[in-house]
Amino acid sequence: MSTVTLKNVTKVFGDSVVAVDNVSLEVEDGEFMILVGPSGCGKSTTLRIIAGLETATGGDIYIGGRLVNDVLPKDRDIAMVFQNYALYPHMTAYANMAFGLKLRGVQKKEIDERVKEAAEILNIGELLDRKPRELSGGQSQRVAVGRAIVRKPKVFLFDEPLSNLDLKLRVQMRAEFSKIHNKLGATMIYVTHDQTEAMTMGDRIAVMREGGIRQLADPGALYQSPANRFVAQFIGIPPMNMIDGVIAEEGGALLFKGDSCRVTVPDGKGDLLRPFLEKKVTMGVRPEDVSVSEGKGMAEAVVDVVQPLGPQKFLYLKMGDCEYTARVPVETKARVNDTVAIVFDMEKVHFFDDATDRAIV
Amino acid sequence: MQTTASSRSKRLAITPYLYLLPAFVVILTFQVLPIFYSLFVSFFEWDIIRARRFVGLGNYLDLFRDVEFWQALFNTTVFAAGSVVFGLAISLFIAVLLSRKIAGLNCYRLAYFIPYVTAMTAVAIVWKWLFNPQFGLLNYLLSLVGLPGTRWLQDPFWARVAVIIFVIWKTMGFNILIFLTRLLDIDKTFYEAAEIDGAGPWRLFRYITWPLLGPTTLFLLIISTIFSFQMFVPVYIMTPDGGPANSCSTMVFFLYENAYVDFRMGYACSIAYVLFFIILALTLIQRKALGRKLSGL
Repeated sequence: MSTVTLKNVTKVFGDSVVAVDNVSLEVEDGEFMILVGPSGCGKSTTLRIIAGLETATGGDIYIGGRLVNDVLPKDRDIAMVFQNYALYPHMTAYANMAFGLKLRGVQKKEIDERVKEAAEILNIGELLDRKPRELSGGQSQRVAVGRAIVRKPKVFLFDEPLSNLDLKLRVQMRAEFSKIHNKLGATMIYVTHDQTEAMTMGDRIAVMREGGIRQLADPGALYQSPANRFVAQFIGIPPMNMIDGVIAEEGGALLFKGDSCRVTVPDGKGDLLRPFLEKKVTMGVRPEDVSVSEGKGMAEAVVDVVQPLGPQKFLYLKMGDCEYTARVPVETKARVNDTVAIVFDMEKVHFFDDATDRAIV
Repeated sequence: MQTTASSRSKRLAITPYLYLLPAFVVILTFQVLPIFYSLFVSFFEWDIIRARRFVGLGNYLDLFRDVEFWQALFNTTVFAAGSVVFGLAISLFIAVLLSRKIAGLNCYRLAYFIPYVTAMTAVAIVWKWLFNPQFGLLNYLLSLVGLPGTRWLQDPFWARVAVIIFVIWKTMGFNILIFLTRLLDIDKTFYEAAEIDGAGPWRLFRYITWPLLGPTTLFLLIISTIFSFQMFVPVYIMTPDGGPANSCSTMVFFLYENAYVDFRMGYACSIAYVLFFIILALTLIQRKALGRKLSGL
């Protein structure tokens, strides 16, 4: 049982800097949990509290069902991979990986077996005699992961381990991490500021902001049903288009009246939106739910920038002062400065309450 | 036009050398020339007043037969070993403490550094009083905790101990500063990683701090050894007669006595050269023997 449970965990630095604000989280046994958010959102601090490198100001931390608030990092049965890898510069890759086992008094023979086994999983067999300064970024990364694997801990903690790598290597390592997770089946908690990393790797993702979890869900749910404005805009590239407006009623039908568009609210969403009649709301539309045509649409926009992207292209559109993004098939013939009609897929749009920023539907 | 341009460029080419000239003349006159001149003088018998008499390697041969030379060399080695080993160990210990976050840290740092910037002669005189068997503070403090005092500078063994204590006190500030700079420079994630790997305070020091301090320790070891082999002022002030049973006569003290008390300039120069080669040899040995071990990153 390698669950990790946080109950109302708070961390205050100094007198008033609240880094983690009443976070409760349950990571299941064998789960790959991602903590994602912009810098300063408290994700790394949360991870460091789980590791025992920071002491929580309030709340309880359980690892494998055991309360570990006062347990030293070394006794929590965790392993951590740091952003800068933190490989001991004076030790070879082998010694780096063996260090934790050596300190725990594991027999030499077993250390050797475990290091070689990890080296095989990570494909670093030929690097074991090298010192960290002789390793590239990607190789150091693997050794750092190896150092965690050999320990066979209950829980793996990763603190932005890919952020120092170039894009190509990052994409490759993402897949590697998923493979390692499948192979070891261990509980892993992974911190990143990169939403793509989060979406591609996590079983579940906790989106954090200002010290709190704004939504905890699997990647699909996070994308399709964001719980609030922040999550809606944080997850997805390019971000969701946000159109300010009010809900109005005309001839019995509900309308969304935006700055530059008027659209009828589909029946399925009407019931939930009716309480917000005459109130300020924001309509959120994913770029792929915006289509353009030469005929009549819901609104008119001028094409500002065209970004071809292989099978698709992004159109950056201007409607008055507002800017929107559309993800359209590559065949779409819009050119810069063209005026196009745009259509939103109203079944897929989201509405957010301006007063609370929460999703209405 | 062309002439003007080329004369300007010539003038520009010579300008930097003119700026360097004054310092160069001073260094040449007072540092470089004496080095070669003293080598030259070491082959002569010369009391400054009478004419020089060439004796070849005579001075060097005499030196190796001179009991006082061996005594001075032994004393110097004892001082060097004592002040370097204990001095560095204590400095490292204090530097590790000062690298922690404790209240009043800057006051402590300043307090440890002050001795290093005080005038050697002045503080040596103060310490001479501290070591005074009848009126000195040290014996008084010892009596407070019920320990018997000692004769310090009047006893051959304790005189050496006293000089070593003084030298450690005087040079510790510098060593601490260098150690501390490096300690604060060590990435704290190494400690965090090692802590998670299972290291307690002692093992963090043993496996992380100590190896990462290697190059710094080697640097301090070499320069402290060089400085301690050149020790003169403390013994000259605290034991102006060379200490009881000549126990505090160092190489430079011995050199000084030969040069400026007995006016044996040639002999003194030969001492200087022997000392130079001893220091050179020690430095090379330290680099060779410990260099790889201590700086093997």
